[in-house]
Amino acid sequence: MRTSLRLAAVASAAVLVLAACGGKDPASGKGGGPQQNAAGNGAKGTVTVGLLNPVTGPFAALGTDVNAGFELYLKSKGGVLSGYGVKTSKADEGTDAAQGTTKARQLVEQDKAQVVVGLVNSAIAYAVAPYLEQADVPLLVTVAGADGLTRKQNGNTFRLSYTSSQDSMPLGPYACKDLGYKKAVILGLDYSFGWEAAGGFARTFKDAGCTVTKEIYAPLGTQDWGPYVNQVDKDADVVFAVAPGQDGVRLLKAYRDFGVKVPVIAHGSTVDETILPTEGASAEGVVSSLHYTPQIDSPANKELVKAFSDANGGKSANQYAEEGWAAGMALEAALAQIDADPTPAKIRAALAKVKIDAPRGPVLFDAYGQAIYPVYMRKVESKDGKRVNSVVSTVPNVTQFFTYDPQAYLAFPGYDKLKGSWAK
Amino acid sequence: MLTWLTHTVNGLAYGSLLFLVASGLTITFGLLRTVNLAHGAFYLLGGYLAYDLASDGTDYWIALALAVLAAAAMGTVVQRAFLHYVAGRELPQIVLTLGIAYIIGDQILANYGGDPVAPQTPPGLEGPVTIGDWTFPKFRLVMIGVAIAVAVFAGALLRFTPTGAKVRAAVDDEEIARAVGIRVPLIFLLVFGFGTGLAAFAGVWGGAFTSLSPDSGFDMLLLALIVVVVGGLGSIGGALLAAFAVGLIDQYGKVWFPEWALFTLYASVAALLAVRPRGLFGKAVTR
Repeated sequence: MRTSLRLAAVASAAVLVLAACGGKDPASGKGGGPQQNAAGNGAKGTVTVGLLNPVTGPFAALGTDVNAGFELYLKSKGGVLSGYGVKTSKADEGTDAAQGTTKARQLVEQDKAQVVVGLVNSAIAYAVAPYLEQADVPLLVTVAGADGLTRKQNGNTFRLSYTSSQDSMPLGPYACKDLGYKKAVILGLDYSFGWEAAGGFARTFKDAGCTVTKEIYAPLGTQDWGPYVNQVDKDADVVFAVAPGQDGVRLLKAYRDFGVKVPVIAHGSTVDETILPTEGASAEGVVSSLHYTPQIDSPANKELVKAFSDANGGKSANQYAEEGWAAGMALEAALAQIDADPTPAKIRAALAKVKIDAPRGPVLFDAYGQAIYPVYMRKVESKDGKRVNSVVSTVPNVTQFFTYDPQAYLAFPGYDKLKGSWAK
Repeated sequence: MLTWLTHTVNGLAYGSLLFLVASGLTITFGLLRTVNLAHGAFYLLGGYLAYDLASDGTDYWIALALAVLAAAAMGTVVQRAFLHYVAGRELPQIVLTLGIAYIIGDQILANYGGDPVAPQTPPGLEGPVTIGDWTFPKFRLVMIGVAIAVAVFAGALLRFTPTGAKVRAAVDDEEIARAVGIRVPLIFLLVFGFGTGLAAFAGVWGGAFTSLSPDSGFDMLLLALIVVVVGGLGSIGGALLAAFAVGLIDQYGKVWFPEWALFTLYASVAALLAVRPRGLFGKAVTR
């Protein structure tokens, strides 16, 4: 008895000490139920927005940035969008489809959300999207990239972020024709995002008249990329890399450690601002394609870059913050079309007609609910002692089908089936 | 031809990293029979502390030493304050060390955020070396040497010194050891601290080898457990051989059957344990 009491005392003391060392906690209100924020005073009434993004698990950093982007935009408008006071209700998407759906249900049934914004993990999005369709509440996706989420005309799902292949397709002709690379090796992560992003590049690169000589895929969370980078043919003209997050850091580190000389081009998420400071010199010179870079020279973007950096201790804005911010703009543009009583059905109809000038540039939705936007060819360069993705070229109005006919494109086999066939 | 040399040496280098992580675990788990699931957390602690100190301008080697000492001190505190009370009881040890791992992991997440960090390569070891036509990262070559040196040092310490003899006595028969005047709790305390210090060292160099994020702790723990179990509980030499074997299997698995990268590793481990449950050099279990 005495021992266990003493043990308990020591344990609680240690936990207290550790907690005190903790300092700032980025994920306040982790786990628990949805958190609500009171609405600003709108002349036309109020609207409740459910924010469903991960604040725990491997995608927590992305979800936090999307939430921050949305809330910063709202704050810049005093909590009122087009005359409606906006009440946000936040829930944690979590790490599995069951939790994600439960939280979506909570947002809709308990908090009476009239529109749901968010979702990072595509597997969860595939479960939440049908639920929201059946509950008749529109969904505005801000990160989840699976190609298949926006394949249905006049659906309930809208997506501001990319389909996995959308941003890499413009890179194919650019690498083949403008940069003059004829033979490419694909080096990517072995899961649906990797296959789709690599497939988008491979399809347009080959259709532009160039060839893919090899495909190398590594599992998610690969500690040592040495074995993979050493398989790159020394006589290839270029390597197309797709590995977001920590895998991207490790890939480029191993690539430079082994002194591989072949130039690297990449899907933009491989060198985005969340990991670029960590990648440092290893990312120098990488050309990548993405719909956003904080370097875009426009008033709309400068406002976001400043607001995000001020609110986050100087951290650079990134695509995820922009997607949250643009979601705020899209909602504002939708609400502007509604005179009173913003029901989910009215919001859905209005979203389909939205056109905004987001920080990334002009954005509108296609018939399938997928955003059409400019894609930037960016190059990692040093500027004022920091590495940034400078814009080298812009491809306007990129759709999820790129230059292909939608019907023909939809008839292609899925990229998961085509994986491994590009080099043949 | 040179490509195969690169693959082989890189497999050995990766194995060396695994050995550095596993060496501490083979001591705390293999030798002391403490199920220590917080080993990965001490790996993170060392890695992040050294990274933090070094990026604040501390000399790299001083930062390394401070991180290792801090983690070792923390290890002794954990041993004395918690594990001491559950000696020989595996389930409470699992829950306890897992809890500690989560606490340390969350503190790291809160302080350093979830984005990965890339600690620097030790000064002087950056970049590739070129021997004839063959190019290989210098740091990885040195890693192999360091792993062998740690194995020889720790092995010799346990086998040939009086302290080592006391440790072995305390582990083999605690009651007799106490009866002849060996201060068993103190020995356990010091050895546990040594083990966590090794984990921290592995964290500093492992971080430079790959990179660090709050989840790398459990990734490394899993691989280290494999090495310790394959090598045989408590055998330093076994752990070194197992680490090299795991590194090579992993490397060639990724080259020959990239589709099956994870399967090749775990399948060969399962096959080995099926025919030799006590691992390569493990003592037969006498319980």
